[in-house]
Order: sequence, then structure tokens, then C-alpha cells
Amino acid sequence: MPSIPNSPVKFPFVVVSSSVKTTQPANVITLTSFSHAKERLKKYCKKGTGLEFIVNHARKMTGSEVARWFADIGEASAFCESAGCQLILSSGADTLSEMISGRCLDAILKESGVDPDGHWQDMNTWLDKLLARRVSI
Amino acid sequence: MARQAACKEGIDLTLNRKGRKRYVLVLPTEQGSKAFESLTRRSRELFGHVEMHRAGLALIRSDDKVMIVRCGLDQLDNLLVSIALTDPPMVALDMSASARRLRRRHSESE
Repeated sequence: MPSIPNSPVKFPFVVVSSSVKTTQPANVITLTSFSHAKERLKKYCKKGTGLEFIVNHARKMTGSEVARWFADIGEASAFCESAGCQLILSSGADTLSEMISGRCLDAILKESGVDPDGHWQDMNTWLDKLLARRVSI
Repeated sequence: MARQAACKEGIDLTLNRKGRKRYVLVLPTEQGSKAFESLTRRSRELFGHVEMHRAGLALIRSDDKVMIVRCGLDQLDNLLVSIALTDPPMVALDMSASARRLRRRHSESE
């Protein structure tokens, strides 16, 4: 969701934003380039925020841009550990053919220098904590 | 004699042994050979000619729906990364050590 709904809803949700500095606090910030957003993240990013990288964006990139993207994921992972945030790797799929298998996501994480098992465990814990705070009808 | 000596020294040498392979079932969005071309192009772009040659990528079988790609076990992660980052997109559906088992599993799931 782009913002917190005014009235109570019957489903769990997270607030997603592509901007680091937003009026409403976002649970997840979608990043295209971590190196560009790093300074703003240091200033405005709150503990427990998810930093999301979308694989679908990387499909359109050239080889060197993908290499930079892998390095960004590695840097973002280190930043998340120090700042108490959560790295999120998402397919960003709009169609069935854009979906990505878990084994492929693991391979991308490994290529970026992130331990896949630890990552998914942290993701589970983070998501459970986040949704536990939500009150739904 | 040479092998015995190598084993004594703690080096495990195995001569004339084929590398282990993995077969990946892929759901492409374009025709099989064209999709395989896109995949190899992307793989070469990301990991270079040397790694690409080492992976021994080969198109084993393709029909109008799916294709089976063969790859060396030690280069499997590179192939999976390439599958995830190829444009037009494709999906890795299943993986096996033998093409026959992969085909059987696929036909059972259909």
C-alpha cells in the first residue's frame, strides 16, 4: 500500500514507498541505487524499515549496471545489519513469467555476498514482528 | 603409481572423469532456441566467456512450452542468476541431475 488506510482493513499490509524522505513513515523503501540513496538513508531511515531491491528492474540493465546492482545489494546488506533495517529482494513480478524461483533468488543473494539462509530467517522474523503490530478486524 | 603417490600426499586426483551436470527446466516467453540465445548472451555478459565455457551450457530439448538446459554443477548458480536476469523473462521451474527424471517429473505435473 502507498499509505496507511484511514479506516481499519481486514488484511495485513505494509506501506511501500520509493522515496526515502516521506511524510508518512514507510515500512518498505524501494531502491534502484543504494549508493545514491545511502546518505539520505543514514539521515532518515528508521530502525526496522525494509530496503527493497526489485529483480525486474535489473532485467533491463546492462552487464556493468547489473554488477553495480550486485555490489549495491551487498552494501545494503551491511548497512541493514548496522542500522537495524531489513534487506528485501523481490521479483517485482507483474505477470507469471516474471516470477522468480526461490533457488534463483538464493543465487542472486550468494552472488551479492549475502548468506541466503540467514537472509530468509531474518525476513521471517522481520515480517512476523511487523505484522504483529498491525491491528486488523 | 603416480595416483598412489598423489593419494599418499593427500591430493585426490581423478583422471578422465566427467564433471557433474545439472538439468534445469525453464519456462521461456519466446521460442526455445531464441530464448536459449538470450540466456547465453546474458550469461556471457554477466560472467564472461571463460565462465560461460566452463559452465558448458547446452540446450538439451525444447518444445513450444518449456526447454531443458544443461549446465555444470559448479556453475549452476551463475546459470540461475542469468535465468533470473534475462530479458525477456523466463522462469526456472525444476532441476535434476538427469534429463530423463526431469522430463518425467514435468509430464507427471502436467
